[in-house]
Amino acid sequence: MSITSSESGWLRRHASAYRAFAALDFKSSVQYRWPTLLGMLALLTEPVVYLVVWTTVADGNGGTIGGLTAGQVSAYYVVWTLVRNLTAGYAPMVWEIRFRDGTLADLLMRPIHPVHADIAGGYGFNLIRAVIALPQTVLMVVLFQPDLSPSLPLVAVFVVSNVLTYLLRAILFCAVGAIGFWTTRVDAASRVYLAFELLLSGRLVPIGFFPAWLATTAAWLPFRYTFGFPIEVLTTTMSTSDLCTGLARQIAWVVVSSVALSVVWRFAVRRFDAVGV
Amino acid sequence: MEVRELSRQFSVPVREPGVGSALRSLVRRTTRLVDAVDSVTFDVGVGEIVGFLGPNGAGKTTTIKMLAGLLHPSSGTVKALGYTPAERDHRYLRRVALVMGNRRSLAWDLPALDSYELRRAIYSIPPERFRTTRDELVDRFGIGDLVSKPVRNLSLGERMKVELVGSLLHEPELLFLDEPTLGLDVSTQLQLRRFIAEYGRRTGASVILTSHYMADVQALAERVIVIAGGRLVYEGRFDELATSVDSTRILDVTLTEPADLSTFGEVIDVAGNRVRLRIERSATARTTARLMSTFDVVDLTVADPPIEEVVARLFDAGAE
Repeated sequence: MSITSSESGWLRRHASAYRAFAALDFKSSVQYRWPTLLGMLALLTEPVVYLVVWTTVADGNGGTIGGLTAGQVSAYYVVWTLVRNLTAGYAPMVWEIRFRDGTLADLLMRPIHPVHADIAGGYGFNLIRAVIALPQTVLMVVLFQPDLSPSLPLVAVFVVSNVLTYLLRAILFCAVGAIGFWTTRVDAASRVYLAFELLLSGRLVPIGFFPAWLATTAAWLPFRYTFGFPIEVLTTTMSTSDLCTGLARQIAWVVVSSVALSVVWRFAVRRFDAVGV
Repeated sequence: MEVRELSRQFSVPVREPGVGSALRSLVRRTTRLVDAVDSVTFDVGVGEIVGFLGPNGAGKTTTIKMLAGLLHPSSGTVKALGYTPAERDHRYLRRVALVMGNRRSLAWDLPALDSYELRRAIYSIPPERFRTTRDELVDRFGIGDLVSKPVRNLSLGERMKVELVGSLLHEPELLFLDEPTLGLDVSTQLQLRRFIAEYGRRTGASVILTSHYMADVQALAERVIVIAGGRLVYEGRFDELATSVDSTRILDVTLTEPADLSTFGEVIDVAGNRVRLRIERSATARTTARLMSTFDVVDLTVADPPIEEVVARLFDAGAE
């Protein structure tokens, strides 16, 4: 299969736009360095609380919980912190602001879909988070002594999975945000989505702790692939087949959500009434 | 650009004030269909500057948003640069720009130069052409010292200038300006008008402009479209607006001593020996001759009614 000149033109244009969106949001995040830093410190409290709770439960349970030792639980939440920082994106609530303050009109007048601005922009924002996340992770390793010694190939799978996680999350956020074309307010839908993500992605509780029926359900829903899967890659013992299946499901969800967003978007923009713009 | 029978309806929720009504609306919503734009038909030629006039809520901005591709029409058709704007083809969006006076499109916390760079990328402007166009626009507007300051630190007028420059970097062939001088001081308004006129002349772009300030439209537009109540009530040259809409003229007469001129026309104002009369256009020569022969006239001037008055009358007639 060869790439036609129009396809290569499309790729070149989008690559250039992605670089520019990422650069702009990186500069914005640097502009607000203190809020960015404080936000990330606040972010550290969530995994530390989960870590302390679950390692305490593991210690009281003869040293293991859901098949994980206290050291493996520590490892889960250390990698959790890394994934959380590297896959943060523009939450659907941002769309409500865009509807209300009229900035969506400007996004819609651009010759590029707003989801690209969110994907690339969030990536640019995460660059600064990545820099700060490294010392955070080192600090957690020192404090909580995780049982973590991944091989190089697993680190490579983790990196790929992390990118797919970020992509899937950004697309789903945009799809939830598009609800605003019907409702103007996105906050409630956003909270519902984030509640499901919190419960079923492995963010609040590792999926390994779930009862079997819930773990099976979670495996078929997209949420695991928006957070938990890359953590599992590094912290649990997965066969090559499990790794490939997991990555394939992540890719499938990226494709399905992209197609779904594209279909929904076609109807959504027809409903845009540019109220207050 | 061809606009035919363009209409747009909005479904607007309505309810009585009060808690009871708010609770009832939880189970049963009442909506009303509002015709924001109603069967509007007109053309805009290449390189033409057309002004849209109309009172608040007349449908000007809704029309301009449909032409730009931001809003989907309820019915009717628009063809612009060979595209249907509602389809939002990226090739169309690359060739147009919509500037709204009350909206910002540049990154708030960063200097405008950073946002300009983003525009270069998303409009695929070749770097050399981008630098030349940017520097030329910045120079013409005299905003060299503004573009490196964060946008949030700029005044409203300064921000509008950097916004406009940003919107023109890809040299749009079709420029939609919605209230571009809103809230600006007189000097900045003048500068903006000159800039827009020059841009139109230099690039051959078509410009469609809405404004509440008559002076904007008068200074820029050769042709004016008046919309009231969603309907097109006048389309033609601005300088013919008064003659085609209003059949009267205003006579200012200064006499050597006060006199009652009510038999000559409608007395609008009396200030000492100066009387302002409204007379029928067709009776101008006859009335002035009679005045000159009847009274000792010190000064006499004949003028069209103020354009604001003419347009306000047109708005009222259209809204009825």
